[in-house]
Amino acid sequence: MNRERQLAKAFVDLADTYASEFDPLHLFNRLVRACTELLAVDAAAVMVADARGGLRTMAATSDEAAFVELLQMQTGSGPCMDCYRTGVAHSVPDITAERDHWPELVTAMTDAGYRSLQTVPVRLHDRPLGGLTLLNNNAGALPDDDVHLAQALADCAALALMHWSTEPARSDDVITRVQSAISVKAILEIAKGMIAEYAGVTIAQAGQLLTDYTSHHRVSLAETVHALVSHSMNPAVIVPARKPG
Amino acid sequence: MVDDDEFGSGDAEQETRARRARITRELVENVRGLPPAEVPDALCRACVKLLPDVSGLSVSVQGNGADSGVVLCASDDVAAQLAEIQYTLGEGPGTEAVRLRAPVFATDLTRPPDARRWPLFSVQATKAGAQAVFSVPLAGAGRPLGTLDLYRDTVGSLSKDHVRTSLLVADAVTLAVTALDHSFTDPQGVVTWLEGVESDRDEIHQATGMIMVQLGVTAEEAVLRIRARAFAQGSTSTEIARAVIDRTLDMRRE
Repeated sequence: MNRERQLAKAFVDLADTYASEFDPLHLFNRLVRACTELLAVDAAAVMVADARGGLRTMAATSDEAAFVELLQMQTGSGPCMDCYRTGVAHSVPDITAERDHWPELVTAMTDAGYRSLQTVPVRLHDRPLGGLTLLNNNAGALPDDDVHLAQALADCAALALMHWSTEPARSDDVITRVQSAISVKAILEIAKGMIAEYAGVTIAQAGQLLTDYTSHHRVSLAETVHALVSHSMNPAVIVPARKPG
Repeated sequence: MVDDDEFGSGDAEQETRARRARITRELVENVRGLPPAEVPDALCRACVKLLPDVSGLSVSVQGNGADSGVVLCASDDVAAQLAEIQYTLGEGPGTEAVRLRAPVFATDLTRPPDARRWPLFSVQATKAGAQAVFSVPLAGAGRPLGTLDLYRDTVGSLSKDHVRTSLLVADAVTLAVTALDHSFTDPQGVVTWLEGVESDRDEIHQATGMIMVQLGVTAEEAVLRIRARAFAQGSTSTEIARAVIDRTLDMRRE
């Protein structure tokens, strides 16, 4: 696929809310995947603000422990929180220059193999909902065109989050949508734990088994994890039969 | 851009933790030492004090069916009626909040879109004396345990700050309700239990799922096992959860 086709497909995928059940996991996964496919970045994650305070990771391109930890330490403060608070995209071309500012983050980022970072606000018109974090293995700023494209993808995802139902969302429904997405993410984490235990694999591998299953069978990830956690689906369904020996 | 000054520029998680602790302590102070039968009403009075912006409130606990529930306590007759109306009709913001596992706000029940969204509930609710209703789920693991339902006799939205407080109050009520279920004999035990609980963390959710499979229990039960373990050995739920994930702690060998 050439670049134009890739771009067109990414935006259509994000705008595709023609599904009966709201599936924010799918939406946010599409967003981070589109970022790594279309932009010059090595990893991406999207966080939204919990109405209780703090940010929650909704999707990330990697489930590796070091990356997850890197995100976990930014839920209260850090570049993504600053981006959410100010509503302005920000570039950190070399994280090692920020040692005074975020000492722990610098260590975690370099340990995980990342050198530069770009944040992009996720917002509904002027209302901030959260932020995208784009990471690179090498130092250097992301090209302007890529930052604009990331913003367009984030805006598109925020609109899709609000329009994912037959009833138009009002201003008071924004909190409902965002908190509902946070709840579904919690269910996903419980389901990952169930699969990890059942199959004797790590949490990251369990997450991969779940997404493999849902993309292979073209079923909703949100519905699948609900079914698992409410015990109306058996974990055996998700885990491929083990090879003998 | 964020109209939330107490968010300031500090650490948002730390500020939330501080506010959560304050709210939990306030609730606990109000129920400490009371005989179990008096706890629900005391809890209700404490919630009203914490949420002065609303006209009244009730706490309902879900039954086994999606549309059945029990009103645990209500601060006045209007609040009690609103809860009963929703269970009778099977529609309303509370029913929606349980389905979506998220707060649902009906800021003006006197006209569309709220009146269109809940055609029967809106008529009966306004007749009972409520013009705006805000329903916050009591977020149990896996499924909501019930709802904290707030109402106002005038139309209008809750401020961002009040939304935040109402979510934290609902979290504290959730814990209090769980503690009631597990009837502690020692009131100080309830206090320690409530104060030691951590919020929504990925590790706790993941460990919950693992324990569900290990012991063949529900998500609620698995979370209680983590909390009980943390409580018993004086560590945090996150520490217990990490040990479960690392497989250095196996709940089957307890």
